[in-house]
Amino acid sequence: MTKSTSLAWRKFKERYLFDASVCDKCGRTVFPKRMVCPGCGGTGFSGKKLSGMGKIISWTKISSPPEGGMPYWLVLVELADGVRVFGQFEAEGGEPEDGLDVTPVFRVLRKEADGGIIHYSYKFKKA
Amino acid sequence: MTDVLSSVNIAAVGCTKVGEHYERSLRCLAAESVLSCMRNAPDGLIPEALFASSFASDMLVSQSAIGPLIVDAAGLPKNIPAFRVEGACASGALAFHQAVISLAAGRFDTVMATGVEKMTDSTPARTTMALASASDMEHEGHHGATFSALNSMFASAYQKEYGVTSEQFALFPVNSHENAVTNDYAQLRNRITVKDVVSSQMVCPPLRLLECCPISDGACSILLTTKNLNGSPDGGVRVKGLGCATDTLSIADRKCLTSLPASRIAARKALTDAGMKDVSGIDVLEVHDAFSIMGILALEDLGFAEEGKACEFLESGGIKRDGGIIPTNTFGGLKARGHPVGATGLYQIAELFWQLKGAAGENQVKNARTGMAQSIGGVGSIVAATILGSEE
Repeated sequence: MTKSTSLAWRKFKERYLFDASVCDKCGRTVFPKRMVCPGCGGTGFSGKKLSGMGKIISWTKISSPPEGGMPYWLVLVELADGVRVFGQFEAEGGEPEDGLDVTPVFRVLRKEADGGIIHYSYKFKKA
Repeated sequence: MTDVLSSVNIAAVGCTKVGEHYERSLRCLAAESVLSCMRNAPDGLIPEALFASSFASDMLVSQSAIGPLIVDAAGLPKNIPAFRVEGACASGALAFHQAVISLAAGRFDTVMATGVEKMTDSTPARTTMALASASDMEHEGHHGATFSALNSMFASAYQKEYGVTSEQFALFPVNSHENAVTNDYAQLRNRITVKDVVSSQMVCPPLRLLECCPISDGACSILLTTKNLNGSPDGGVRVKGLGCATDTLSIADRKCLTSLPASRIAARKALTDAGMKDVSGIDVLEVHDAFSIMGILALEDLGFAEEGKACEFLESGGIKRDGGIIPTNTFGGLKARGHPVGATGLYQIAELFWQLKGAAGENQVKNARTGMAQSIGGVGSIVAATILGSEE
């Protein structure tokens, strides 16, 4: 991981606010944002905020995190409009399951060593 | 296309043992493979260019510019051009493809393709992060997705879709290990059982330790030429087909988690080059079993088993070296021969070369005339398929 702030700064809106876009040509919701619509190749977009609510499509557990620390769950969630995203799962009250309805929560994702960046992002928990 | 490609002959191969080579550096491993290759090469063949591959030398040993590094360290002819090729874990195969294409274009007559990976100078944490860089770092890696985790999603989706078990998956790594027992340069030469696999430590559910390939150091070099070997324009081991295809980088953008479309497309392209309508003419197969699920999917995506039927095919002995319908991973595959990432695609091709030349020793598949290798980068974000044939 890096101590550079610019990447994290660029990604704030996406990671904190589910700031997405809608393709002007085909209406597809694109999240995270892109330069080119993966559906139709269009390059014009309008803004859209997603709720972040969704359903678990698949999940697993990282038993030995490469950077150390406690094991955590990784989930693949299908949000509204068919957009799928990865996120960690907050397991208070149960483990992830396929098909579980989830809601986003704002959390610290990781802290870089030696006074580096504190990365925040959405995680998911049972709705 | 097949005529143009068939002008390309594999003249020689050379490789290091695969393993944890704490006493040898990246450049030493690369040099050893080049020297071994040239010792095996017919007299008078001088490589005019190098196609070099290392997936993550930059991250693992902080070394870039491996093209000139290998020309220099391995004693290749001074000042020859060098091209580094990268495609995640398919890098070695892609370097081979680029080498073939340069020869088919008539740009060179003889070239060397060298793949090397030095993974054990790095800490396990750093190595895991380097491997994760083959995934989508912003959208998968950022959220803590490791490479094993992404593959495990395919494994659980497949098991759920087709009602198969980890015991059935385990047949794939069991076969790979069986074939490595008689392979002198393999990293893991121990026999394992289904029980060993399903009782091994959980990595990311449902994948267990013995379903996942090791961390490996190694290097493999292949000398290719359009010059006639043995004084004859025919004979030898020739390139029959190449196929390469990409797919979305993030698996969140895939439509399904039970197949790799890039694998299907790459295989189809290679078969078309070779003038083959399906894989029934393939005698020996090397696939990318970095994880058991990838071996399973390979059988289906390449066309050796129907959708959902790969485990049945395994249970019937379909991939056994002795008597199987399609002997697979005949020297141990990624799981047991090992996976020095940037070199792996070239090891697969070298293994096909030995099979087709009748030089595979105890690992020989009888009457192997046509072989196919499949190399996967990322979780199927890039796949290279290669078909070789011998005229003997």
